[in-house]
Amino acid sequence: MSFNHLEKVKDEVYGCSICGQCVQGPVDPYRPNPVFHDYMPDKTCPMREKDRFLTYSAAGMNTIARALLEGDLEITDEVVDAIYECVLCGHCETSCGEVFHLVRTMLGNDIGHGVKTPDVVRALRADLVKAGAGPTERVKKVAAAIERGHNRFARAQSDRTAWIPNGMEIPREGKLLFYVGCTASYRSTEIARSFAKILNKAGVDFAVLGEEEWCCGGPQLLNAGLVDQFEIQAKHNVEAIRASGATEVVATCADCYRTLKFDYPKVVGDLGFTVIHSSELLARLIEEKKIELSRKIDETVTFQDPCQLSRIGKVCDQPRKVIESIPGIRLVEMEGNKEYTVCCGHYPVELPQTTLQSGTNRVKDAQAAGATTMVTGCSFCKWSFNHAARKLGAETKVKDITELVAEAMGL
Amino acid sequence: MNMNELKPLLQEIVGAENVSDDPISLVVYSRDYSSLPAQKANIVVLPGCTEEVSQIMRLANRTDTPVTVRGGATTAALCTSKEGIILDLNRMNKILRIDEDACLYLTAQGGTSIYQITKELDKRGFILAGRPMFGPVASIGAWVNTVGIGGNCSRYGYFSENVTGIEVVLPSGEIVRTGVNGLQNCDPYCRYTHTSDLTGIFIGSRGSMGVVTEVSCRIFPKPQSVGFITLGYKDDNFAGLIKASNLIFRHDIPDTIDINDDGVGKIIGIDIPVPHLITMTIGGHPDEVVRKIKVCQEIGAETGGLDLGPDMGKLIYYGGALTAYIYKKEGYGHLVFADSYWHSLEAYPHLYRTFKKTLAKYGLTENCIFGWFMKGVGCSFPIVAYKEPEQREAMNKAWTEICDDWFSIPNSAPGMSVTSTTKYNLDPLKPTHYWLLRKIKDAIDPKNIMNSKVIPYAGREK
Repeated sequence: MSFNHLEKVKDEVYGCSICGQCVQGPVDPYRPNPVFHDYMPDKTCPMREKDRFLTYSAAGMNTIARALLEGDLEITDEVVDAIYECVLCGHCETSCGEVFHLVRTMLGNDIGHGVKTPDVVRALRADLVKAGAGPTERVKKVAAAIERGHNRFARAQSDRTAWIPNGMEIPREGKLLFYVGCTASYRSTEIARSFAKILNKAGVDFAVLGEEEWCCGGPQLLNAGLVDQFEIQAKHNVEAIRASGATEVVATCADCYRTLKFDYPKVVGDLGFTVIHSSELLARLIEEKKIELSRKIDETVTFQDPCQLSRIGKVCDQPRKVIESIPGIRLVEMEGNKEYTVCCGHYPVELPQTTLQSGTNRVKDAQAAGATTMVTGCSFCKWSFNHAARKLGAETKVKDITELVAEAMGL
Repeated sequence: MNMNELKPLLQEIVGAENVSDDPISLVVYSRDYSSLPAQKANIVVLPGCTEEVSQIMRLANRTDTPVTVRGGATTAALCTSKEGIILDLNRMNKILRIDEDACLYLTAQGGTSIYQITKELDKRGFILAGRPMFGPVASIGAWVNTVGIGGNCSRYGYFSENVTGIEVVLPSGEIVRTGVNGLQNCDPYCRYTHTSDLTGIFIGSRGSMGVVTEVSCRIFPKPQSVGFITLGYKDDNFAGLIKASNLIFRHDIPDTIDINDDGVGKIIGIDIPVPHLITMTIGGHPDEVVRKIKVCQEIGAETGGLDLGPDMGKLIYYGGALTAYIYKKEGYGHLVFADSYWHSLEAYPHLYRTFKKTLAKYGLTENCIFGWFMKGVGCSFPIVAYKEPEQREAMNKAWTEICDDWFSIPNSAPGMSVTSTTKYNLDPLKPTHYWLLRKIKDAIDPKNIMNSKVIPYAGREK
């Protein structure tokens, strides 16, 4: 079997020294620290939390990759399953790069980066797919649904706009385009509705693609190594967005945001439009005083930074600014926030146990921080925490940031 | 007994989900923090409590199955094995007790990471006696097994000197508690009682005497403030460096005194004008810290040392095992952290020169050396980063040459793992020392099933 994709990230594979920092905690537990102000979490890797073997860690993934490159391990179903256990949250990479972060901040010297294990895992999966060995059956089902119906839920594309509130007309063309995403279109429609109402009330003209919006393909295809199928989705969506005349695209889902903003340009080159997250737009509208947050919300909330938004997009301050603008609200931080956020588990269908474990850990983190409400900016986070809170019997409420703002606006 | 027969018995003890003999796990557990060649054991087991460890050890003893214990696996060559069971203690990761009101000690399970413990203590205003040389990834049981060297040892001694007791499962499966905890009525608040110090048998034993399932140790109040200073010395002024170190200890100044070279500075992009550094961490009342830094500056002036300010100290303090992690930079994932080398302060110049000269000969330019000192005793950590697989052979040759030289001079001893255990660890022992060590090992582990490479001939050859 050839490892063309893996060969390209070979330096990362051999860059892993198996020190265990990816799963055992970061370099420095002492506070105060001139760079890191909060304590770091020690339950960081979703697959490791589900399965305590080192196999299921960044160190494990890199060691497996090395063994495959050196011919020391054969591809079997078990190997494929192990490689598809990683949720690609990227905490390992951030944790691994903590020393570089420290040196960069204290001295201003950029001397390196943490091992990019997510790149290694993506490359491995792409090679497995090319060889006909991947992906796993659960992933195949979701990918097949996307191929057939252009959305992950195998629902009719004609239902994509069923979420639109009665009486609201949203055009298909405009300068600002709301890319709704599969989950907000079909499942967590309250997110899409809240956002649309906010924009409407703020007097912001916006459009949606409707049936021309296809699944972004990031989490389900690109992350699964289904590179060719992902390219089809990317090319279609970019063409559809360009045809809509949009110069700016806003996404409420952090995964869609990441995929459009960071992954699509690798396929199509210059997009011809910018991509922002809903929290960025909300912060802007608050600053421009186009949004009036008049209703008091007497709750203690914590913000779950979605991995792709905080670690890849570096969008951490805007959501907090939005939340703190709401009268009556108290914002508390969980252990592990901003770039050091801990993943929700991310794959409720493909990796249900991992997601439940991670979601449960995070709901407990929110409780430990004293929060009664978890606010997030990603449909996967909301899905995971709601499920975990139900299983735990916890009274913790879970809201998307758009829902919170809509509530504060009295919508 | 073959592994097919052993596996269901192990599954019965710890649950099927905590036993793995699949090729994937065996590959993953074949490596550790070092770049030493991979070794694949037969099976990996994750016990969840002391009783399970005891049952596993009874089974292993009965079936002559080798057992290698693994914690954070930050110590070269001790955590992998080419046969038998890998006992991964990472499920045993709970802090069981923090006594902050009376005896000032804590008890944690052997697999608990130092990070978890230190974080919890930090929140309560306490610290451990030391800061692990490899960063807080290390587990507390493994740290005891490897003596416990690191930052703060200048003030508190090595971590193991502050251990008040351990719970250990012997190779035969018996569960033993040491210190006053060996008595029916005492918690593990004190290491010494009316009998011999049994804790010492297991400290530094590198997993060869038993499985450390619980560690109890002294905790200390966190200093009110911490200051930093580095003194730098020219290559022709080793005498000044040694004199300064001695004076600093006489003035009872540092929490940490780290003698290192400019390698770290080069890696992180700090221009250091001289090659030899004394980097210090000084804790205490803010006024006292200021006073002590002034004394250090005066000592520096007296001994020809340059005051290089606080940056290096800060980076080492806040960066944990900074150097090791920094070698993760592109293309240098692997490093030889051939563990500690105990030596007198006077031996340091010779060790340093051999280290640098030999590595230069083999073109291994990414290296540094640093060591923590307690009075005149040093424990140094040579670090070499090299590219796999291109520089592997050069590294092995260089390392053998360095070890050959280092252990031929007075007052230089191996710490934990070296290129040849027999040649460097066992052959140099005085016969009576080895005789007693063998006697103890034979009594505790007559079949030599535990980390058998540490005392390789015990139990097998008279």
